[in-house]
Amino acid sequence: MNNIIYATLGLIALYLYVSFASLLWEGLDRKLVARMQRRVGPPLLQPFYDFLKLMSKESIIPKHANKFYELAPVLALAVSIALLAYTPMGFAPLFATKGDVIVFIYLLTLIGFIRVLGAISSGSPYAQIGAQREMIILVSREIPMMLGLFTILWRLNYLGVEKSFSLATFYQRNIWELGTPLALIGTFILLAVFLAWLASEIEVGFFDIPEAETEVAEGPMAEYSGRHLALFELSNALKMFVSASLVVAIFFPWGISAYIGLSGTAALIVDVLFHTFKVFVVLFISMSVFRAITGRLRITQAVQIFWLRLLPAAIIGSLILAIDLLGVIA
Amino acid sequence: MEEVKANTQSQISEREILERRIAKLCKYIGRSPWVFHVNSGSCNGCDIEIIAALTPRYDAERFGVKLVGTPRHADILLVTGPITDQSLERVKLIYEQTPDPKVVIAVGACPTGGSVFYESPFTNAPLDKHIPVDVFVPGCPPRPEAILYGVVLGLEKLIKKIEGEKE
Repeated sequence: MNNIIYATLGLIALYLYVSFASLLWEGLDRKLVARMQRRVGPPLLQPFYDFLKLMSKESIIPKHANKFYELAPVLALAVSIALLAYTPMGFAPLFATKGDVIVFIYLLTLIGFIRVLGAISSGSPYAQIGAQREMIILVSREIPMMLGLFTILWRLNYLGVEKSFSLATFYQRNIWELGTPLALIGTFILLAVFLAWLASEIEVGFFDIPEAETEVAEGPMAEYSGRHLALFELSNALKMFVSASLVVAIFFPWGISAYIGLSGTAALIVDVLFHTFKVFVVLFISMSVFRAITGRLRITQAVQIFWLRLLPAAIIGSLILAIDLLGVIA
Repeated sequence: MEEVKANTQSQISEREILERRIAKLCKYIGRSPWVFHVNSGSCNGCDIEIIAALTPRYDAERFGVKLVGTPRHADILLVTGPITDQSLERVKLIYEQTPDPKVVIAVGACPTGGSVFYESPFTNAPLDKHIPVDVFVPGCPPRPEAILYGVVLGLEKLIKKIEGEKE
């Protein structure tokens, strides 16, 4: 019984911390991109102001919207909070069990799916087009990511881990421990795939297709205003942090608490802070720099990137890791 | 020489005063005025000046101003053009689609008084015959500074309204 209470309290604390950190990152990102374009840029706390303003504004519900329109933002935020319980945050996920990677991927995809449902429920043709684009990109981007993730977990399984196919395994064994040249090449290929996947998951740069404000009037969000929009923005920020957390946990899982010699709660806090720092670094590469130097692609070009570039890259990376294990090439 | 120096100094201080005024305002309206651009048959002159106000040279984003693609997200409507018969219904619709509190700014000579289309049977200027307008920014086209100043005036008016509601 106590365990459940502690886990719930931990989840609430994590939710408060991650919503603060992810909104702070959005402000930092806008500032960094502005500096890259030789502008002054908005204040660091701009996303908080945006969020508070949206919360205090009127929420209009369109005449053609159905019941799910109001439900979708709440569901999206609820799913992102549930996702936090399965996200590695510098320590093993709160509810880590055997095979929880499936739940993680399922919840991560569900956020995008709920956005699509909300957009279709709003009854606006712009939102419909945005929803179609989001659905297409959703279907395309998950496959290279899942292939890479499952290959790495499968490979780590052979190193001997406590819970197989759990996101907690990254804190026991990591992919760099393999050490062989072939494994290193495979890992670097998969790292590139994951960075591209991250950019498409948070829809920036090349992949800013569903929410193209100049073409389809903000896409799925076209009819949302006020509180509903604010909830969607928050769930998007959480999703961004969680997606980057996955990349950090797979490729850069090291904590610093063991080196400083901390233990207990202090170690957890130091690890979370260090994890946040690593997430910011990964997002800087995959979001700020990528956003500043690339423009939007057409949806067909983006789909081609996923199926003709990233998927083969993921297959090659996975095959290299498999060949390394099987010892076909000594 | 002395006069020029005094002139630049006064310019700088005026700009600083303006920035401080915006920062103070933004505390109230949530510090993030999002702008939606309504084109009601404009010749594209004012539209280019609006874009110029958002470019790195004037960098309106430092006050949290963001150009959004749908009236549902907007706080400020920038209306350009002489409101042709075709666009009249759309302008009214967009005004109704914008959630409260909102500010309407008429940019350019056309929505202010009709400009070269004065007394034309196919245009419906001035804009405030159809929807409530907070600020008129005259000019053909107005300079980007004028548009930014118009936004400041509009926000100030809105703050007065909000404060009046509270009391």
